[in-house]
Amino acid sequence: MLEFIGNNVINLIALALSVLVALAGLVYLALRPRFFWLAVKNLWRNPLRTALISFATMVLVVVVTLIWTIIYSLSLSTQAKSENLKIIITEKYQLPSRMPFNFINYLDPDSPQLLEGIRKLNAKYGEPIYTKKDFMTWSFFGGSTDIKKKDLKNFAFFFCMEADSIRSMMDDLEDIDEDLIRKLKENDNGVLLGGERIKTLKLQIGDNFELDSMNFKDIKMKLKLVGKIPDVGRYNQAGIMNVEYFKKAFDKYKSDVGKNLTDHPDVSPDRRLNLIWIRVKNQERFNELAKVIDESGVFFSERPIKVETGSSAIASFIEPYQDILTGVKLLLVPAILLIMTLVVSIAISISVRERRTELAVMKVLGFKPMQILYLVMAESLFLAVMSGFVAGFGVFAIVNWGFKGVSFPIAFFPAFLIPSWALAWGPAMGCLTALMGSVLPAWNARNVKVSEVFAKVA
Amino acid sequence: MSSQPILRVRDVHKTFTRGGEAIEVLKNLNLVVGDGEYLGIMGPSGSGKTTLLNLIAGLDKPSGGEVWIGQSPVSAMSEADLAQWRTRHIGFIFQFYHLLPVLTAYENVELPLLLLPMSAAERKRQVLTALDLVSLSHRLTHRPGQLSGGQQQRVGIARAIVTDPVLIVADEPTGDLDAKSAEEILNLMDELHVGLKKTILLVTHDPRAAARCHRLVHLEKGQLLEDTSHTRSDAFQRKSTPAAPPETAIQDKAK
Repeated sequence: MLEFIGNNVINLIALALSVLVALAGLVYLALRPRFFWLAVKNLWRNPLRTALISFATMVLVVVVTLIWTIIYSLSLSTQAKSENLKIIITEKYQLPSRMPFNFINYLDPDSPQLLEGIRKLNAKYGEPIYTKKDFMTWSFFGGSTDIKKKDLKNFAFFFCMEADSIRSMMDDLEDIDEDLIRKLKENDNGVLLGGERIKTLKLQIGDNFELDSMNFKDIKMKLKLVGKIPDVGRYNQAGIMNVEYFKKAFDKYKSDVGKNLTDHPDVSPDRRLNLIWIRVKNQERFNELAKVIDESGVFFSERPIKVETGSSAIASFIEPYQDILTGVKLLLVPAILLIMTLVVSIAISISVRERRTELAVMKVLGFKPMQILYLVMAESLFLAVMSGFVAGFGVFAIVNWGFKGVSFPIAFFPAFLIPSWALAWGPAMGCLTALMGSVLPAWNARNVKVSEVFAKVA
Repeated sequence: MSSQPILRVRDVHKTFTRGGEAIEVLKNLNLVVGDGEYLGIMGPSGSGKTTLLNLIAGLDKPSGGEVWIGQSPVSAMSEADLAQWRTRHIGFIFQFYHLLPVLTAYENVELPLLLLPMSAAERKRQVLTALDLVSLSHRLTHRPGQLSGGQQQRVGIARAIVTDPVLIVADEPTGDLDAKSAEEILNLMDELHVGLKKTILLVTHDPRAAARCHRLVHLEKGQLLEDTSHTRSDAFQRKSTPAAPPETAIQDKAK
């Protein structure tokens, strides 16, 4: 609970602000419906100006939502978790990491060669500290459907892995159709592809196609598309291939070409495993497992390896972008919010200046200064919060349902889905900017001097 | 005129500072207005008529002296208290009507009632009665821009009387109207005075309007001078004496 709150302070503030302003609006509407009506009517005084303020607010909310989605998603991925930690094992001194397949034997929980230290941990806890469901390996394979024209239109990228690990280990694929996994297992050369990639490659489910490797020279694959990866955003351009078929392709290369694999550096068996993923229950188990692996260096001496959490691995990966992201977070977003505040402030100031006589009349009729202030603020709040909500919901619906995410290829994220929190960001941004933007003009309205106004009118 | 004074202005003076120079607009001014009186205030431009009305209505503070309406010390009340008090006690009629352009005639009249604790049904009854009194029941949904000057001023009058105030303050209510419309408005003011027994303070330049008043004072050089020669003409007296006040929600409330 505390971890959730800690990770979502801004979101919770936005949600609280949105709920609060919505409740306040409803209470105001219920208790003072005619005042509410008066505020709405005042907005209708100059429909063009109202529409322009609303439009400006919506544009800025959309921009901030898109930017914040990327910042939020990345920060979520790099936040250290205290439960269900994913451990990533990679080559220590090489990027990209390329390890031998036999490393799996020491870490696969069902392997007879499983490290003794891990067995001792299992015994200590009275249960396996991770099971086969918590274990996944990745080999990356990228290739082109056209050997002569290797460009993005012909390109396909695959995670080569065990089909059984998809549901339990791949983020956002927990609910993948069991039938897709079955098809993948039944078809040795079967692959799954993301929807966008299927469209780009102009394929249909059931199609066979050939792929010439771009990261393993001379390796060719004859693949069969058996299904589409669910539309969860991050896999729209990616694919999943059976790791066994991936291995066989190299065996076939050996039999076809007749070369000793070690003669070919790219396809040598010690360079094909990119990542190993293990999930453990908590930080304590992670620390103990990492210690066991570190102390078992003799088994991994061919290619020294490192152990880190998934979040810290992603953090390392996006380290070069960190300054840009910090700049965006601390400068660009506040700057946009400031512009929004100024837009609201200028518009409401003009409106107040135009209505000085009316405001004076309202005071003559008995409106208290604070009632005038609330009325002016209610107008800007209503407009900005509604615009913020419409923009927030609109961008959420259009980007997630229409475009399947914000395309911003960084780390392992080809696209970012706008989180549900964004539905609270829009109204909260509207609320904040309206409050900040209207407080000064509303204060001026509150302080309108009736005698001065009518002295000028007369 | 009732012997009970409804308005007492005692030793009031008002000074404005313009460009570093102090201008004394009102000098030790005294005025007593009885309940039910129809008082006209005349004076040249810049003589301080509007300033006096502002002080009486609590829209401005005197530099010295006191203003009392009934038992309320207007000059000593806070702005927030004054606002609340004004809704119940003062009806203001402006020269340029000052209706809110985005609101209909009905909504303009309803505006001061939003500040009073009453049910929507009661509010509606008050508004319809006030608009009926000014013969504008058929223009409820019209905006100010869709009404003539005379009609707008009648809406302004309905707005001034809808809270059933003890004092109606009118600042040149005919100043922006043609002769016919002005006549209609003055007749309506007579009805408010006689029919609804309202105390009226009328600031005017218009001799025809002044002729309707029971008492006339002139504001000159910051001081009030009683016009002892003024008498209300019989013709106006006749016009402004309806048989009985109409049975209205406003009258009901007055009872």
